[in-house]
Amino acid sequence: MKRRDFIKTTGLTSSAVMLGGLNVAKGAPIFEQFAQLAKAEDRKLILIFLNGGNDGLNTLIPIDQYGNLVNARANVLMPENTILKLKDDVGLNPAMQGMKELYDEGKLHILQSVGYPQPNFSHFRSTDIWTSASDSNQVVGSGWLGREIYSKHPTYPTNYPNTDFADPLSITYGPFVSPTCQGPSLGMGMAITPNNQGEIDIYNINSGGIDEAPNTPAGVELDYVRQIINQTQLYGDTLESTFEKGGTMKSRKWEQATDGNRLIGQLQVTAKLIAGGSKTRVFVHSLGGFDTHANQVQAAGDVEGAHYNLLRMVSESVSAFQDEMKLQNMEDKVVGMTFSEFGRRILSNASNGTDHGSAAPMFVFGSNVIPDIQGTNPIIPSKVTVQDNLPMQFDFRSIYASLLKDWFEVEGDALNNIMLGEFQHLDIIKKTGTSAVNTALDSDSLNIYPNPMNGSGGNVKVMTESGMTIISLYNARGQEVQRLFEGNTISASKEVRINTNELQSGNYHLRLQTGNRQIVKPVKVVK
Amino acid sequence: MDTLLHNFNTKDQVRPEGVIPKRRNGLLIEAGLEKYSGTWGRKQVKHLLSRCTFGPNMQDLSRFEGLSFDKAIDTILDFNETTPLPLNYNNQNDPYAKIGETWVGTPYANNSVGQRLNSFMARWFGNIVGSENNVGEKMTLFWHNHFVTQINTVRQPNFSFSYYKTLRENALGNFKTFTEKITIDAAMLKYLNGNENVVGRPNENFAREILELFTIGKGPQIGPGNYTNYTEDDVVSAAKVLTGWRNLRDTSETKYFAALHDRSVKQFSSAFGNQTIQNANGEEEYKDLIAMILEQDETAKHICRKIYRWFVYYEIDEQTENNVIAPMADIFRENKYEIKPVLKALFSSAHFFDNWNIGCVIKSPMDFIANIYRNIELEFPDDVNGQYSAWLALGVQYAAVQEMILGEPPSVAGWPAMHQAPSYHRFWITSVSAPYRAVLGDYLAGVEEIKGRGFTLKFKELALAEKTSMPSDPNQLIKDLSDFFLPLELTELQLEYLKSNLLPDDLQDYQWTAVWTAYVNDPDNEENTNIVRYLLRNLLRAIFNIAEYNLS
Repeated sequence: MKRRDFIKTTGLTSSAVMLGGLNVAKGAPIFEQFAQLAKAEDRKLILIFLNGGNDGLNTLIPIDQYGNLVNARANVLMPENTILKLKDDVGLNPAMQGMKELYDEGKLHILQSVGYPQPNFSHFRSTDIWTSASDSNQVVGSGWLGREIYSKHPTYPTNYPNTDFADPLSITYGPFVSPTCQGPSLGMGMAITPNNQGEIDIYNINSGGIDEAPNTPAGVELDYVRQIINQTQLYGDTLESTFEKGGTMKSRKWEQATDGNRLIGQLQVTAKLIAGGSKTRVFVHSLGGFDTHANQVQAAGDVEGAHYNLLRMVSESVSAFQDEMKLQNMEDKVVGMTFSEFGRRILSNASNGTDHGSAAPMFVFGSNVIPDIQGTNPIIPSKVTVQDNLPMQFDFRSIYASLLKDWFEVEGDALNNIMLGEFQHLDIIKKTGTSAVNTALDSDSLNIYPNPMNGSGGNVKVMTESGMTIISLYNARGQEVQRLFEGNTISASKEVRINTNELQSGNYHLRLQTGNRQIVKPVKVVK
Repeated sequence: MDTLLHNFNTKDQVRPEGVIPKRRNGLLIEAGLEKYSGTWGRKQVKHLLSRCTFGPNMQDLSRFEGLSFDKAIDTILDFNETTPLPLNYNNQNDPYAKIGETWVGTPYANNSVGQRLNSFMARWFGNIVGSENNVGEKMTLFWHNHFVTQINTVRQPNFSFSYYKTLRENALGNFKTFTEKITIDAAMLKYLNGNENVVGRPNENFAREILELFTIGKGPQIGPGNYTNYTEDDVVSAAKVLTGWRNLRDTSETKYFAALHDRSVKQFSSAFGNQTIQNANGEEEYKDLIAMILEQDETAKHICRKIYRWFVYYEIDEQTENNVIAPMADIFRENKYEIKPVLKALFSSAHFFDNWNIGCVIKSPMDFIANIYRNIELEFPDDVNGQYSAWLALGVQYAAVQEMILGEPPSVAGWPAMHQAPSYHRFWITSVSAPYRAVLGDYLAGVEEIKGRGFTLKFKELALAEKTSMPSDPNQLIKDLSDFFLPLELTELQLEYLKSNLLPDDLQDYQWTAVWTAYVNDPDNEENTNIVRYLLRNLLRAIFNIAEYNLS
């Protein structure tokens, strides 16, 4: 049953009808008890990796900062009148018509300025950090979803597939299982590449001659090769038949997509597998090309170009997928999320491109997300220098942890174990019982004085909420330079001191995270 | 289930960046870079040739067994062929190159980019599959995986060929001059936007990668924007040094434009002893940068680790770091970054020939494919069209479906199997690549003729069997063939499995001997010969598909 019908038949008032299809005003209560959640084990998480570092400032554009953006990046900036407005002060890149529609339908949740405290501008290291969910000074060999899957299937691959779990534990489109799904020692799932017709067609391997492997590194690798061959043989048949069962796709948006969309085929296979009854819970898709050092617009001031094309691929793919799920009556089973290893620099370069940067927005989509833009527009300085970057508003691991908790129903110690620590909970998924859309803290919950401050430092006065609180100072490069406070708090006022002895003059940001809310405010040091 | 919570937050799973992990099975390998002094027999020859070349044939093994150890190593390091020019093999529309002639050096032809790239990739595979028994092609591919460019981003076949020629002709040369050449190489300038890096608002793409990947490598992040071996500020300064270089349209020459060069003093961090760079001759400034980076010990170590992972194994524990990598790096520095002495030390070392290091590398798609053709001595056609078409269809494309495209690694860091912890080589064998490996083995063993547009090849299975020590004895035949193809000795049970393929349906040993003997006596007896071929191909199909054939 579609939610709209459901609401009509239960005779609810018009304020509740809004949540069926329209965006909910900021701060308005949501009647979440009506969210139709599938059983936890039937829920699926759709990941889309924007490989290369997506230019966040050109994806979700802070319109109230437009003047300063012109100073910093006129050659790559979208003309103001082309921006797809979501709210008065913020909008999407014109390529993202499909995402705009999802937002209007109340199926899109956007988080502003997601990152981590010590950004690393290496694609490869930062991808490791995002996929493993590690601290930036740690190396973790497993992926965050690999750990989640492992905790449910600790004996994999022995006796897998079986009647309860006939489908791969996760599916990655690409040459190998995504590091996101890497378990403590093995990839917790399967990698597939659909053939030229977009079908799953896995050759039947006839390999034999297995005996105990020698106790040497060669033996260890031999066991690994055998296991891959074996799993490919066993899962190959199931995958093909589930795919067949998926039947003909119903949405017209698949065909309406622009030619050359390199992402949409992956999502279509996922849609077909889900329609065919796949029990796989995690699907990892990826699109490369976001490393737009040059020509992200075809010429300065143009709308179209490499970045526009990429965002259109994402938008069309998500939109078609979501539409298909709706037509298949599967919408309540799926939630999707985009991620990228980093954002890009505020200042563009002379080749109509942007170099590696820090925080960027994340999109979470589906009929079960709370429709909102969480966080505030980043503040763009009037004068931007080459290394300037956005401070993060949200740690990416808060989003992971919140999805694990509210979508996959992983709780307490099990959650902290998978996440390798405790992270701020964010309201992203609709759920029964609870109240409001999470919003940024009010401006007066964080007071800095004096501001600007000189060499003798200053004070930060905050109103904390109950839960974990972190107060940090970020420099203009988006790097955390001082952690002023970290610990559990109650609702109270709190004061901490900033020591500016070691700081150079310049623009900084103060970030307060308390309970499930946060705020970032500029602060200047003038010595 | 909840009570049996697996703790993910352990020292094995979560370690500070920069801490060297232990080997997975806790193994310690005592042998270091000292010269190997053990047995020099078939097993060692096979190991040397499997790792340093794209696979030996049976005669190669015998020939190397007859060489002294030192002579064998010298032969492996002897590579100084010129690079053959790729030819236009079937493109009637190329305005500048007739069929049978090379397109290299002719102007850019918009209508022929795809065909020229095919010709380029095919020629590259031809060089690999036809190479002599030396390390040249393996090192060329190593450098491609190191100094990465992608043909589809460059979209200039002349640039890509010139880049490839530089890789191949410097593969065993001097790393410093090699790095200098690559820095201003046309394909590289285009690939990493060096050609758009100008004074004022520099493009950092190449500057970051030369530090992070091509030379010194990234260390642990020890402070905001500080990666131990360099900082974010160093990336910005390096970008300024590199401003001013451009490629030209129709030639692979590149040119320095003084007006586009940043003439300021470039300040580097304490990782480089707070040095500054400002050369009155801006055209030479990039060489100062490379010299400064190569002065750092870490640069030599970074390159040596990559060489180690390419030729030995992916796990580098503390012991290997101390006993192998560090002395390799010393040799590299002492020899002013000459590449050959490092390879010589590694290939002659006790560590390289240690039993623990034999058979543990998972073959790359290129290795698997070139190995199988070279192992079975598949003869490629002589005519240009047939030759290039076969190289393309049987080589380039079979590797491409396994996600390894010559000229097109997936990113500037190269193939993940060579750098992505903790899986490394394991990324080569996946649910995507394994079926294609099976397809190839089944196809070669299954078809009478290997056919494609423009070529017909034959797998001469009888000739292969005839080279074994006693083909009339099925047990000896199986033993010889499995020893030849596989890096590990098979168990009795495994040999039984192979035998059930050679002799299906309860056929007996004597029956094989009978048909083989009949074949030797009268090869023209088609009926008997076909039985022999059928049985033999059954056996070979099983060998190509056994898991061990994926190891080297």
